[in-house]
Amino acid sequence: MKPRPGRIIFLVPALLFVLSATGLQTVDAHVDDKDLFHLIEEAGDAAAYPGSSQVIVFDRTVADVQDTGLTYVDQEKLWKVLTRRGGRDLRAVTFNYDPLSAKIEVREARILRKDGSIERIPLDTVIDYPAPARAIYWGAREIIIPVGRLEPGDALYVKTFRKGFTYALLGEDGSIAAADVDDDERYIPPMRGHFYDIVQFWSGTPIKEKSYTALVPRDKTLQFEVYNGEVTCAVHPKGDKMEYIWAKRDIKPFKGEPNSVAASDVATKLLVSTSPDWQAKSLWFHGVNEDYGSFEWNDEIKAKVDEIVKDCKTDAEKVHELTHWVANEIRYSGISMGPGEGYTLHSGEMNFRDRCGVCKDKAGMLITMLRAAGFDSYPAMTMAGSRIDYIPADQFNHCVTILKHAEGDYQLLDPTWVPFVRELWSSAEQQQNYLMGVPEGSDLCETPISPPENHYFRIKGKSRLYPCGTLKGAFTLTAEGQSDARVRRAFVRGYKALWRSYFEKAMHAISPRTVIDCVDYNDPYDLSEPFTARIEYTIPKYAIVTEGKILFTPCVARFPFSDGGTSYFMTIDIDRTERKYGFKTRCSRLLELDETIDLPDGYAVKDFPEYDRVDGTAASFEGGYRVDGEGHLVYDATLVLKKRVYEASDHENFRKAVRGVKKMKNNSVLLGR
Amino acid sequence: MKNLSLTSILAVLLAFGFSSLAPAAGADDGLCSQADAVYLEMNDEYTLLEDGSLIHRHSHKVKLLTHYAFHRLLGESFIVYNPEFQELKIYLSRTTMADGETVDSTPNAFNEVLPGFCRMAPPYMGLREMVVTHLGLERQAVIELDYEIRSKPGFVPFLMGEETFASTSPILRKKVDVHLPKGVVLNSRLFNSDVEAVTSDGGSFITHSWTLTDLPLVPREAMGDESARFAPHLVFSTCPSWDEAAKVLAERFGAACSSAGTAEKELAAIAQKTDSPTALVRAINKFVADDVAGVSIDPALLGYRMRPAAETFSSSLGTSFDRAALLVALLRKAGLCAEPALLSRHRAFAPEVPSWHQFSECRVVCTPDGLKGQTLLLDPAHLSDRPIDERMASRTLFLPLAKGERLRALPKSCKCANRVIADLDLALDARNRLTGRVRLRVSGALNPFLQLTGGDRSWAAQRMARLVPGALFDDVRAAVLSDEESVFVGTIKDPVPLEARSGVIEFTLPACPGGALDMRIPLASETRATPLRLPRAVTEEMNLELALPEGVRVLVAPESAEVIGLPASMNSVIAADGPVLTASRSLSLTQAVSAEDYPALREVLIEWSAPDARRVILEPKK
Repeated sequence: MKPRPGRIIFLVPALLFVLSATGLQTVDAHVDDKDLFHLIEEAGDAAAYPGSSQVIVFDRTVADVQDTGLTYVDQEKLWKVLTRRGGRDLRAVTFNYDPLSAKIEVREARILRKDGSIERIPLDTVIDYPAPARAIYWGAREIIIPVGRLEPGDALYVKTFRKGFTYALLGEDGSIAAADVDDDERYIPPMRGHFYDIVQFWSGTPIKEKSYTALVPRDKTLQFEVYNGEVTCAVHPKGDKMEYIWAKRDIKPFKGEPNSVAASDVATKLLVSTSPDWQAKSLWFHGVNEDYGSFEWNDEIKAKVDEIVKDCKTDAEKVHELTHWVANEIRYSGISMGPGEGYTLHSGEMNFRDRCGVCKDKAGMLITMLRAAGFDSYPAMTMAGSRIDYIPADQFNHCVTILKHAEGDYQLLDPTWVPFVRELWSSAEQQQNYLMGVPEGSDLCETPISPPENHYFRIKGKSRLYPCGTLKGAFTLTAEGQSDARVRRAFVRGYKALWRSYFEKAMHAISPRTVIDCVDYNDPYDLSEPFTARIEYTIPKYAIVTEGKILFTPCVARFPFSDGGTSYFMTIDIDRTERKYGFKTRCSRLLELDETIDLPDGYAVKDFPEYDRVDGTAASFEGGYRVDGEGHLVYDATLVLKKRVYEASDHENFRKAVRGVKKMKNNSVLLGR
Repeated sequence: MKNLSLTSILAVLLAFGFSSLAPAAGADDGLCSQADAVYLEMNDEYTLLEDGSLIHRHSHKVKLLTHYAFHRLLGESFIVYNPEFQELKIYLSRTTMADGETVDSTPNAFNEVLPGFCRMAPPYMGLREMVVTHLGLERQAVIELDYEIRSKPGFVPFLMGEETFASTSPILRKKVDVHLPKGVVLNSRLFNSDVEAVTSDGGSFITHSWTLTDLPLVPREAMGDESARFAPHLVFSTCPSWDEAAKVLAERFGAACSSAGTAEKELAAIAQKTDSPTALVRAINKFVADDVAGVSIDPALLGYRMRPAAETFSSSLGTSFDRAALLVALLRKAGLCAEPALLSRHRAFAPEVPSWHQFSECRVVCTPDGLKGQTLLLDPAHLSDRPIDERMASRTLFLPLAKGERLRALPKSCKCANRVIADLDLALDARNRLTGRVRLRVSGALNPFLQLTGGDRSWAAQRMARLVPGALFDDVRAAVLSDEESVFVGTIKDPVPLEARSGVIEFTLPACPGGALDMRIPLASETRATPLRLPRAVTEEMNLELALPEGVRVLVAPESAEVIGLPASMNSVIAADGPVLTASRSLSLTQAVSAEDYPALREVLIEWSAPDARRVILEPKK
C-alpha cells in the first residue's frame, strides 16, 4: 500500500480576490412568482429535452458555515414537468435525514400551473416518518411533500432548510453527544470547526441552472477542486465571511456506460473542505474510536479469542482464523448504538453479544479480537465502488481493519467482504482508496493490484468422442481467491436444497442433453482448500456426424461456468468499439482451460480454428488446438485480466482478449476419416 | 355471546406453551438434511372477541443449521401492520445460543420503519413495519419469536384469514387455532391435506385447531407453482355468505366510484381520439395505468378499504383497489357499464368460505358494445392485449356490486387455445442466401388481438424476424384479424446469407415465437420437488419447405420423432426429398406439470429443442 502522492489543489485562504462574476442568483435573493413563471417559460418544453420527463429550472444551495463547523443550508429548487410521466414521478418529493445529526424543514412548496395559477402546498401536509430500511436500522427518517397531480407545463418550487451533517459522531471532547441536547450542539460535525461538502454538478435530469454557495468564516482556509468538468467560481468578501459561489448552466443529463467506473469518478463535481489534509482526518478517526473505547475486550471475548487461536502455530494463522471468525460469525446487520452512531465503531462487547453489525462494527470486532490476541490493529475508512479524490471531504462508505506488523508495515483485512472467501482482504477492492486511522496519522492510500494468478479459475478435462457423436468425459474445476469466492457464493448465498442446480445449469448450457454421471465437490463452507469440483458427464448426440466427418467443440472449450455470476467479465459488452469512460470487472483474474480428447477410431483432425495471441497491459489471451504424439486432440486457453479497474484506453486490448474466449466457445473442430 | 378475555387466551397459550429447547427433538434427519434451518414449532392463533376486535398471535421456534440461515434468511423478522387500526405487541424475541446461553433482543433491536412498498405514497405513510433483529445468532442457535397484532372493532367485519403450512425450511409442527365466541360459525377449508380440524370447548369460546407435523421444506424452484396449490393451505372465515361478504365492500365501492373528480374533464379529449366503445375502454384504461402510479399494498393491511376515485386521481397514486375505483368511475362517466371485481389471491379457491382474504387485487369488468357481448377484464395498472389476461387463468372473481352470482370462475385457459403456427416457404439461392415468405397464425393468448386492432404491424414483423434470424420482412400484412385467430404474411426483404464453416452449412429449424423456447422453461435439473407452472399451455407448429439450389444437398437432418401423452406431445417429421427439404414439427404443452410428470416433460422438451434436433447440415455446392 502506498500513500497517494500529493496533488495541487486550490487553497483559498482569506485572500480577497474575485474569480469571476456568474450572474446567477443565489438562494437568499428573493424570487417572486412572476420571476418563477418567466424562468419556467424560458426553460422550454419537452422538445428541448429529448428523452427527459422533467427539467430542473434551477437548483440553488447556500451553505452558511459557522465557527463550530455547524452549517445551515438553504436550498431552492424549481422543477418543470415535461411529460405525463414526469408529472407522475413528481407526485411527491422526499428528503432523508438522520435525526441524530441533522434536521430538515420544508419552508415552502408551491405548484405553478401551466395556466398561471399558483397552489401553495400546506406545510402541515408534509409528513415526517421513519425511512424504509433493510440491513441498517439506525433510525433514519424521511420527510415527504405530497405534491399530487402535475401535468406537462406545470412546475414545482420547493424551499428547504437543513442543518447538521450526514452521519452521527462523537462530541467535541470525545464524549457521546446527548441525544436530547436541545440546541444546535448535536448538529455540529465531530471534526469540530471543520466543514466539507461534495456537490454533484451532474444529474440524470437536465438542469438549466445550478449554483452552490458557501459562506465561510474568514479565518477558515477552504480548499476546493472541481473534477471532471468546468464550473464557474466567484469569491467575494461578505461581512465577516467569504462567499464562494460555484455555478453551471445547461447541464445535460449524464449518460453512463455499462460496466463503467462510478459516475462520480467521471461526471462533474465539486469538493470543498476546510479540513487541512487527510492526515488530520486520519488522526481524528483514530482518536474518536480510541477515546470511545471501541476496541476494549472483556473476559468473554478473550476466552473466545483463545479458543479460536488455540491450534494456531504462527501469527499469520491466528490472523487468518480471527478474520474468518468475524467474517463468518458476525453477520451484517446494523442496529443503532444511539448517539455516536456513524463512524464510531461499536464496542467489542456489543458486537460480540449481538453477533451482528455493519462494516465498521465487523471491522471493530476484528480489531478488538486481534488486540486481545496481542496484535496491533486499527480501523481504516474506504470507498467501495468509486474513487476518493484528494480534497479531504469525507468520501467513505466502508470500513475495514488494518493490522500493523512488527516490521511496521500494515496489512488490510476486511471481515465484511470475506465471509466464506479464502482471502483476508477482498481483492474485489483492489485499486481502491483508503485512509487509515492510525496513531501517527496517514495520507490517503490506494490498494495495489492483486496478481491475476491469485485468482485462478482452472478447468482441466479429459473426454472421449464416440463415432456416433456422443461425448463422454470429466473435468475438474479449481478456483482460488476471488474466482473461488464467486463459485462458493453460489452455495453459501443460496438454499442448501438447491446447491446441485449450480452444476446442472452449467452443464445444461453446454448441451441440454448432458447427463451428469457424477459430481463431487468440497464443502463450500470449508475454506481450508480452494474450491474444487469434479464432474463426470455424458452428452449423447453432441457432435455433428456426417458422411465421414465429425464437427464438434470440446466441452471445456465451451467454457462451463461462463455465466455472469461466476464469470462476470463474460457479460461485458465487447462489441462496443469505443468507451468514453473507464470500466470495471470484479477482480483481476487468470482463466485456464485445458482438455485432452480421445478421438473416435479411424478419425483424425482435419481442421481446427486458430486464434491470434493477444497481449497488452490490460489483458492477454492465448489459446488453440494441437494434436499430441498419441493422436489426441489437445485444447488449451489462457486468459489473463490484469486488474479490476481499467482505463477507457484499455478497452481495445480487453475486448480482443475476451473475444478469444468467446470465439472458442462457438468454433468447431473438423474431424475426418 | 360471551366475552372472550385476553386472560383466557393467554391461558390457552400457556397450555400449548413453549416446550423446552431440546435440539430438534424428534427432528427427522431426512427432513432436515437439505435444510438451512428447521422450525421446531410454529403457532398461529386467531381470536374474535365479543366486541369485534381480532387478535392474531404468532409464535415460532426455529433452529439455525447453516450460516446462510442466519446471514441471509432469518436474522430479522419483519412484521407489517396498520397502526391506525392495529396494535402490535411483541412478547418475546430470544435466541438460545448453541451453548444454551440466551440473548434477548435489546430495545435497539426493535425498529419501526416504513414498509418499502409504501415509498412515495403519502396516503399510506401511516403503515409500519416492525423489524426485529435477532441477536446472538450462530449455527445450532434457536430463535424464539412471539407477537400479536390486535385489530380494532370494525377494521374488518368478520374474522377471516389464511395460512399455508409450508416454508423453505421444514416445519416439525405447525398449529393454527381459531378461537370464536360460542355461537359463531366458522367456515373453513384445508387444501392438500386430510387433517381434520379439532374443535374444543373452552367455556366461553370454541376453538378450532389444525395441527400438522413433519412438513418438508418447499424449495424455491424456478417457475414453481404457488405453494397453496400443493402444500396444505387453510382458509377460514366467520362470514356466513358471499352476500354478507359483499355488503360492506359494495358500500365502500359505491362511495369511492361515485365521482372521478377532475379526471372527468379528461374524458372528452380521450373520447375524441377513439372510434369505438372498445377503443374508448382501452384509452381510459391506459389513461389510468399511465397517469396514476401504483402502490402494492396487500388489501388485508388496509381492511379492504379504497380511497375515493377523485382523491386517487389528484394524488396520482393508488392501490389496485384505488385505481380500480377510479377506472370504474371514469368508465361509468363515459357511459360504459363497469364494476369492480376482486381477483383471487390463489388458484386454489374455496367457494364455501366467504372470505375477503381469498382476494388480493382488484380489477374491473366491463362489457362494451362491439365485442359480441364479451366481457373485458381490465387491469387498472396495465393495458392488456386480450379480453382476459392469461395470467388470471383459473382464478376467481368476486363482484361485490353484482346483482346475481357474485363469484365468477375465470377460465383455465383462453377460449381459443394458445396456438402459434408458422408456415415458411423458403429457398436457398446459389449464393447460400435465404429468401421466401412466412405465414404466422396465432390464437388464444398468443394473439394480442386488442393491440393489433390498432393497426400496428411491428408486432408481427418482429416475430417473423425471430423465425428467420437476420431477416427483415417486407410487406407484413394481416390476412385475418380476429379474436379467434389472427394471420399475418410477410416476405423476406433482403436475402439472408447462411454461413458455411468447415465445408458445411448449418441451418437451424425455426422455433415458433411464443412457443416453448420463448418461455425459457427451466430444464437444467433432472428432477423437481415442486410442480412446474408454465406461463401458458401452448401448441406450436412449424411447417417448412426449403428449396435447395442445384448442387446443394442435405448431409444430416434430425431424425423424425413422435411422443404422444401428457404433459407434452411432440411430432417432428423431417424429409429431404431431392432439392427440397421439408420439416413439420408440432408440440403441445399443458400449463401445470406435477413434480412426478416433470421428467417426462423435460425429456420431450430436450428432444424438441436440443441443437441436434433442430440442426440440418447442408453441403454447399462445390
